[in-house]
Amino acid sequence: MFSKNLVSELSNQLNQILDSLVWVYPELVLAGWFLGILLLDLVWRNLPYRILAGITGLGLGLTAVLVYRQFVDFQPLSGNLFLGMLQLSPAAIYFKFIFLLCIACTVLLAGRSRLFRRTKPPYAEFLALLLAMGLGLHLLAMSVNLLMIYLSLEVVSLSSYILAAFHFNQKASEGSIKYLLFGAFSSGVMLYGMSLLYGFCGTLQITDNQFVTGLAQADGMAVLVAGFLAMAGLLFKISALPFHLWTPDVYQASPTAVVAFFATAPKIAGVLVLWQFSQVLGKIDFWLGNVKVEWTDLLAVLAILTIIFGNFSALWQTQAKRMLAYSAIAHAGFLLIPLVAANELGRQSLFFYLTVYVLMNFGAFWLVELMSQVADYQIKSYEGWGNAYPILGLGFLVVMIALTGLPPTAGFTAKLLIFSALWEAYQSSQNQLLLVLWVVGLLNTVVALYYYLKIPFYLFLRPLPTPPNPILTVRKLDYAWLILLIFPLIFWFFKTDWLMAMLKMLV
Amino acid sequence: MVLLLFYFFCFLIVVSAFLMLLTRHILYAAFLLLLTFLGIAALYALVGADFLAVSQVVIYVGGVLVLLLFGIMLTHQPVGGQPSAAPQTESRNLWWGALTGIGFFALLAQVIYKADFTSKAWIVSAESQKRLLNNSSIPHLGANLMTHYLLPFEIIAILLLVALVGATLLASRKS
Repeated sequence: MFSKNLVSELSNQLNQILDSLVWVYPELVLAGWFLGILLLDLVWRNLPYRILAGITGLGLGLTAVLVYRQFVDFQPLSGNLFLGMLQLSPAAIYFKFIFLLCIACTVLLAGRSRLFRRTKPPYAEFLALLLAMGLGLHLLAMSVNLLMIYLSLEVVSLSSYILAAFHFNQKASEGSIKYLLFGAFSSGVMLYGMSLLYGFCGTLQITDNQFVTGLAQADGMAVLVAGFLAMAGLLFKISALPFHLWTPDVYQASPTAVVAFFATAPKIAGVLVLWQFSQVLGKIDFWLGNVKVEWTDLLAVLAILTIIFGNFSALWQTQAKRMLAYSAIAHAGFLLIPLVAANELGRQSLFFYLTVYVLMNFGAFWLVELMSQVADYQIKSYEGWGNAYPILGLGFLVVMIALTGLPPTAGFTAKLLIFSALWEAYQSSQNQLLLVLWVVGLLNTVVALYYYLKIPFYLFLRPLPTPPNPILTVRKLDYAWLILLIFPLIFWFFKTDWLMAMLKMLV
Repeated sequence: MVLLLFYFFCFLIVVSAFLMLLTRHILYAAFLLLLTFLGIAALYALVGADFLAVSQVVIYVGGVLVLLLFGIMLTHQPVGGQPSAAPQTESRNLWWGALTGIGFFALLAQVIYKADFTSKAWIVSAESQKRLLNNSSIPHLGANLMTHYLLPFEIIAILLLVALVGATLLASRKS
């Protein structure tokens, strides 16, 4: 039935796939561990969290070692995997480490969480879903094919919908169903956009030359609309406007550990894919009639709206997790700035920002979770605890200053870098929209000061209501983790070069 | 003749989808969905995607929809055979919703009109080689599924397992 020619071509392709397998060992381990934990739970029911978390940690460690091997063995030629589905790059390898770090932090934070322990959720499924999400994130960081991007995004999303419901109460179901509906809607929109893009160029592979030429020849407005629609799922993941609506409710209703994870890892993966996407679309000039529009203009408008909306909504929040949700929206806007700049400094500043962002967020959510012992996530009830527990208070102060973007923290350095990248782009293009974005970004940092510093204000400058009836227990492990998370925030402010030197290598 | 069939099935899809929006009776909506699915399967067949057309019928009409109908008939008991009372939530922003919907539709229609797919280089070359209609698509699908699309194929397996785990988890935990 098949001609000889076809058979030899097929065997050639199969050999290429077999060769590719060597480069996805970390993902294979994650998939294996995902299945393994589910099986383990079927055989021994009701294993304690400590043991299951230990096994998960083992898997994460093994994956980290394999990712490190990839880093050592990496050659530019080894990039193209599975006949163009994935592409391994040093940046992808670096962020795989970050994803693993995020999962490890989440596992630890979930074990620490009191409410999580009291309601006794199914631990095995929790950890298995986290691992599946890790697999999706790893693949997303490497995807250069529209189909692969969509599928790995769906793996991440489906796991997220379930993890968001892990308190199993009414509020959690509400948040989760909201998340699911918005998610389904945005991935539908994304598929629509992707199918239009496929129609324009006849290939799914975004690094392919045919993709760029196909888009360049198509009508400007059509490509602009299709590109925006295809971005929908990614904008949803990083909770940027206009796909942000789920964020506050999900953040409020989900377990803190899960929220901390949502705020970091999927966001990073989303921004990385967006970066690749806009690298391709940025090469094209779109003509709407006689007006020239660039892809970055669209991103700039989105960034401006997102920053303004996130910051001004955060001003009125009285609940710590809700406030952090709006802060996450505002940060999504800031993360779009390097994409708008789209230059070399923009790339480095984006990687710097993302690295710092992970630490800030896990620090903030860890502290919020600790404080939840004495307060129902209300900022008002933090009154005076900073004086009673100076280290905790200091931790809050540093993290909040870093989130605002003030010295002496790496949060300041990150903001400085992205704004300089944007300024550089403005200098070379003289595009007024970039200047507007620059000014809006700077002004909003001042606005952010007000709501971020509300927490340290209540912690230190208000007296402790006497007598402090609930007791706050802070373990040595908490201190150790907080120091590990917060110390780099200050260290990288003084030694920015150390991190930047590494990030510069990730070409 | 083919063009006539095409427009007939398009009409079927659009009308049944529109009626689905208007009807309050959930069983009617399910049957109208059946018409939509069948129309889409016919469209697939018309463009030569034979395998896709058959799987559309087998999976959507045969599987998903029958399950849906079972679900409705086993759980839904209208009082006295009447369609159930008005929905509990009030419908708000009716005009804004309609306006956004129509605006978005106009935008997309314009995009598709401007995109001018028939003149795209890759479609022209595929048409000139007569690759589109003459052969069955199944051998190519099979070969591609095991080569170019092997990784997506495997990832879908994981995706479905995640969905399965999630569904059982949420169904088994009563809040």
